[in-house]
Amino acid sequence: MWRAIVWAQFRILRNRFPRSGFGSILMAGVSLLWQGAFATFGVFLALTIPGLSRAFLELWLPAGLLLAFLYWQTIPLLTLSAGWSLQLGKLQIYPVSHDALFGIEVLLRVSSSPEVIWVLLGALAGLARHPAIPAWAPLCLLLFVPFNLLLQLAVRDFVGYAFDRSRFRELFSVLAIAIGVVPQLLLRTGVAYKLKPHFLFLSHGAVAPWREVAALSLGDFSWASAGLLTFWTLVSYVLARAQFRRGLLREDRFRSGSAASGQRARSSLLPEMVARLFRDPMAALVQRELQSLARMPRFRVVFGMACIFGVLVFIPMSLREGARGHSFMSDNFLPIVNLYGLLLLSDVLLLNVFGLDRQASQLFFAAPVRLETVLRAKNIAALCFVALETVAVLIFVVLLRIHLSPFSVAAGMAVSVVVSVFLVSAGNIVSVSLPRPVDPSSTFRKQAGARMQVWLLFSSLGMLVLVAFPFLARWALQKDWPFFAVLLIELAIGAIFYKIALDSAVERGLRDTERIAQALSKGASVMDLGTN
Amino acid sequence: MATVPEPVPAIEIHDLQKSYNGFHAVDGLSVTVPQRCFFGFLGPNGAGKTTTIKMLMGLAQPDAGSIQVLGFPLPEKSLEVRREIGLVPDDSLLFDYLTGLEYLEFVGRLYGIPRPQAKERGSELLELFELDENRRKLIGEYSKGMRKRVAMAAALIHRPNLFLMDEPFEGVDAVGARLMKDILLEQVRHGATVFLTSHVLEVVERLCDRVAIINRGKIVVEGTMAELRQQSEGGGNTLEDIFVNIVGAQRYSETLDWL
Repeated sequence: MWRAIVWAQFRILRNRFPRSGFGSILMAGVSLLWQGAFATFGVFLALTIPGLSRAFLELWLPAGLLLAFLYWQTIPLLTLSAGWSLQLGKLQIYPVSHDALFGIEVLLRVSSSPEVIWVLLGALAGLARHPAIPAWAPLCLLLFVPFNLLLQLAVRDFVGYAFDRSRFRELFSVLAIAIGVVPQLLLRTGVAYKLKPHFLFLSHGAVAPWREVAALSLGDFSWASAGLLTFWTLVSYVLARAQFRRGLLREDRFRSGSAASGQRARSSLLPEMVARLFRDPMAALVQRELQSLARMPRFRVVFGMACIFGVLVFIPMSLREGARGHSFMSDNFLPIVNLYGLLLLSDVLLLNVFGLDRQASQLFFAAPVRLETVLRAKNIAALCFVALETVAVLIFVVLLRIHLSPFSVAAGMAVSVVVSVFLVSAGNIVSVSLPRPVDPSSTFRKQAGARMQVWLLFSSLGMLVLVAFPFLARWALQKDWPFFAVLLIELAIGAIFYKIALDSAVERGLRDTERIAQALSKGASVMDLGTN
Repeated sequence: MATVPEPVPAIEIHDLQKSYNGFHAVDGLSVTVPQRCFFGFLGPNGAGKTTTIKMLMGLAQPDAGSIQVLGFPLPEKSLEVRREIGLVPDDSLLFDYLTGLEYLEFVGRLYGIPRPQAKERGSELLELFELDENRRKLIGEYSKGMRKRVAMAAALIHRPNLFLMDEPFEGVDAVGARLMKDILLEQVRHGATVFLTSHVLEVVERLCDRVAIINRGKIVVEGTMAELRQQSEGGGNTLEDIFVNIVGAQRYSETLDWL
């Protein structure tokens, strides 16, 4: 059966292949570079380990395995990226045994962080070349793989389940993300160096699976180590199996109403207030956009991330540099955090404005409203959320008692306005050129299409260039006013760019209505490869 | 003696063509739908029905040919046309994260109905379609039948002169379907035109004044039920007999040995 699934997936990929373009090739290159860096590290380990003393390996191998374990288990959560997985809802109606589906699902977990595999293989090769280690021992490193894959499946399904069920999904996701900032915070504040002995102690903790794998891999065979590792693998198997069974029982989450029980229509006071500033049909469109977005789990999570994640990411740098007196980071904290927030929001809010509405977007082309009005309404709603995000970041920063200069506050707001105008303009063109459906109920991020990723990359670079000019002006003249003067000029250029971009988007949208409608109604394949 | 001008047809399609990657989905289709008519547009899967409806809705551009809806040429006067039609497409145009009432109010306002009136009409339509108990529920939580009913309610909210409906009864229970049929018949009695596709031939036979059967992108037969019976060479009384005769007669004699 698994052969049929793999074959079907291969055919789907093969059938898509002729449509791959420059974007796919570029993103494949970026991915190759990323994986190549880890593979290079694996080669480095393979070459270096044979020259290391056994005592050194006994000290650091468990620590390395603990790091690999942490990376394996947390990275997919931090990026909210689930990697490849089976579309169980589609497959379980066929006579495929659950064991086979479970087996494939476990193997597909490799796709979420293949980089760990390269590092482990490098370490394995290095240990195999070490003169003081028996030939059979390094193979025990491979025993770490099923344990991690099974546990990752259990953790992923548990988190996915919690996201779907919990009324506090946004809080939960932000907490999960905040955990990711901890290592950086520890390093930047110097606490990590104080914690080093504790980390080593943890890595050598009795009965810990990484310690047992390290002992076996170094040739210190004992039945106790083998037994403990088997025990840990069994525990992760039982957890994975239980979560997998739960996943099978979970039907269409949204339609069943179970997930949506917390999604009852909430007060729409704010959307109504904003809509009062306009006349129909603009008012109706803005109100609907605000109402819908505020209720979509996917958007809520991204919005929460934009509000909090940026602050958490940049606090450590600010603290570290601030400790040495004034620094670029501490002086410009708010503009940088706002920029980061905009980048996070851009994917769902600015660059793919029809994505979350999916096939329902056809209504905008079938109803008696001009596409220009629809795009303007979506832009207004997006700017409302950007404004909310900017204010939320400011409140969060004030609550954390981070020192902000008046310049930083004013610059933060001004940068948000200018960059938003450019992003919204570019977003209108991208939205009609590369529309793609986004599942609004899915909290886990699915990888954007390759061309969209290229756009995201260019948008990020464009944002940096936009912000660089005012900072350069301020630095060159050693005064604050040139910063705002340059931003003002950029805003004027942005307004012109917006007009041109909107006209182009409308023209293209009307010409390509059919293609847009088709793209937004696309279904998925046997495996969820993150095409949403 | 002055002559009374002929009323403009609700839909007038002439030599319509649409291809996808060399496949002629619609291949020289011509049909005229008079006003105040309940018009059934039938055909086997892949015959070009949905493509034709999409072109009428303005969601697809024809490669050649002309379309006039209520006297307005498409795509030149698409905005005017869109104001006059009510849509129930085959795939969902519903926004999952709005409640039924919010959606109806939203659609009403898009069609230029003042907000209080749109809200009032939406409320009344939900009651009419027996969805008022679910007015605070998000559309994403609706069943398939409920989604069709709310789509139908949205098509009615601005009292259109022409309804374009692609499989409107699909997934709707008997009570809901009956309700929808009664409402549509009432609309036709009040002067509206209904252009509908359906695979439920009994329903089409009972409701429609005129029927056109499309196959491979072309109209094969068109007329009243009586005219269709006359045109069907294989005979048969029911619309199903006529339909199978025209588009699927060669299929039933072939069976698979192992089946």
